[in-house]
Amino acid sequence: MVRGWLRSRRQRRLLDEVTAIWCEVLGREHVGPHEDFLELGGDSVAAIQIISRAEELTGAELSIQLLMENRTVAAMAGELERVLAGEAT
Amino acid sequence: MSVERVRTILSVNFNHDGSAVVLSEGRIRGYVNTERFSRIKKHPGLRAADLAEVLDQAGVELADVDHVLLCNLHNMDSPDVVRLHGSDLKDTWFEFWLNQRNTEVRIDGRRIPCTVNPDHHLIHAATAYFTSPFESGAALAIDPTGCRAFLGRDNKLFPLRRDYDKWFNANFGYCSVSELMFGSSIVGAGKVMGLSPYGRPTGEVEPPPDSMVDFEELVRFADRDPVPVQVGDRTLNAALAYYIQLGLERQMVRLFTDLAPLCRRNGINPDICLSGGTALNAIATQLAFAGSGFERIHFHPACGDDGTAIGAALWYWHHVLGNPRLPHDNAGLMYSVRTYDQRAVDRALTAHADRLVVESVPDYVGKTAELLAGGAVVGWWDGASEVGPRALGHRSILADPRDPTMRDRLNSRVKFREHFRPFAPSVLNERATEWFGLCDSPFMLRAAPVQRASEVPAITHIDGTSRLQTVSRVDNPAFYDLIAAFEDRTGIPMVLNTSLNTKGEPIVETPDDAVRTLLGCELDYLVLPHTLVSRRGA
Repeated sequence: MVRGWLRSRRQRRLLDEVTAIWCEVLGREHVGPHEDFLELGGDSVAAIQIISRAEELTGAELSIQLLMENRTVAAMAGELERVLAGEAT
Repeated sequence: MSVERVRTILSVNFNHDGSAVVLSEGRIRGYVNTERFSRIKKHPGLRAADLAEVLDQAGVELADVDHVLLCNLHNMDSPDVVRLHGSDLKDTWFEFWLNQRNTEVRIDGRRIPCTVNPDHHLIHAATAYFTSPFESGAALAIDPTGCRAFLGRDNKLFPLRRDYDKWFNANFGYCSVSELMFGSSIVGAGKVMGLSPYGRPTGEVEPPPDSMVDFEELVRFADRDPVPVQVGDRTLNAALAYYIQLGLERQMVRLFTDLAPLCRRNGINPDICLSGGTALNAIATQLAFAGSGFERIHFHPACGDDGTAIGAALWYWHHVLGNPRLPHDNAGLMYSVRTYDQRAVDRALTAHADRLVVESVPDYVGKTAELLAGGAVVGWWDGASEVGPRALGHRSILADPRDPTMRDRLNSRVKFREHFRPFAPSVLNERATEWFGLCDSPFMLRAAPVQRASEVPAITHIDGTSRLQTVSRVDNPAFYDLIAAFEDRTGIPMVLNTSLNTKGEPIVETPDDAVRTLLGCELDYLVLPHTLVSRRGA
């Protein structure tokens, strides 16, 4: 697991951006990095909105599976990082 | 004593959505969904005429039937049919007598070995599992009477003891909400699902806790911040529809999350079969499937009790008799057996000749695409009727998905149903991923977000999703060619597709039903193979 202080600037920015998307879609002022999507009241509509915002952010084609397999901000940002890295190589 | 080999099985569902199947050597040779022939929606059981029909389709007589399965005789007393029709309709059934041990049934003076009331969830699960392409997999059966899981391996299907009923209650909850809002659970559940996104809270609202099990409590919770939606002369609280949908989504996610590792531990493939009326909730199943670790998902097009007659016959053929699995193609699963020849079409057109304009059109596929692109609403009748509740391109009403006014026009003037109810697309399978992010949904049982929603407003629900049918040419050549011709004209590889019927009516079966539907609503045209029909003076 990547510890907070070890994160690169890019990883931190991605985490902040994903957090912002979750906050907006879920209508919350604050979402912690390890809070579960469903426990935050996430539903199918929110899942679609988060994924479509993440597509705008990354320019990659994503599916709801990415969110449902990574149901926290930290996990989703980590997965997006891998998606972006995969596309870069 | 030699035991004669069982070759032909007759199986009957006596619950709502009555149905019967004749299985010969493991193949579906006859299938009847009673309502399509009786014209009484949800008609339970089977009439003598339907029994004759299903035997005739299969080309067999009662003397050829080696075993009979009588399904759901014990759990068909829900009040829904009585509420709908004022009678349980049992007096319409064919006559049969059972011996004291329930091992032999007498029909028309003939005694045939039988099985009575095979487990309800088992035969739901069997419908999906034995028609799936999976060598092994989980099978989940969820309906308002319970939630049970099974493991399938080759030609055997075994129940799992997971006690899901101890905590899975959104199925009962969905029924209660449907009854409260629409007076019926069997015809109301789909309406609740359509209404639910309207009730979505806009700000930060804590969802109801998982521990909430009391229906009154849920109603009170939804009433704290109601979202009123006017439906006819009633005001409904859409928030209640939203919260029960949310509850179902969360519980379905929990179910799938529990089952996937269990499959892995038992050496079962990570594939899942879904059945039971609750499986029709495509939004919840798709969300649960997305994060579950299951790789493939399969449905039978008749998820409801209409499919249980098929499941029971297949269970008996494979699991009980030990016969090997057989491959099933999509067309064989989604289209029934009875087709109608040109004489039947001509009879229907002649009977209403004074009210119709009938035109013979060699390129009826291209002509229909032209009419749709020009804004017409077209009834499309072809081949054998659909198995299950969805129109899949044999008994469909089609329209242009680009027209933003189309949903209201169809709901108010063609289908006569609630204004909030969405419409689905039928999309070319190879173009589906680009538009919906998934493909291979031949039975219209999977939902997905619409990627270019602004271009196809008529098939995009308020929550940005659509429940789509993907169409492959091999399954339905004429329908595929029609959508391809529509794409040639418009650039859009899909048409809006809803069932060919109006409110309160079962889906059309015969050419005569189709003509009467044309005469009874504001359909612009009815298309039968090589024939274009419209109302005189329309």
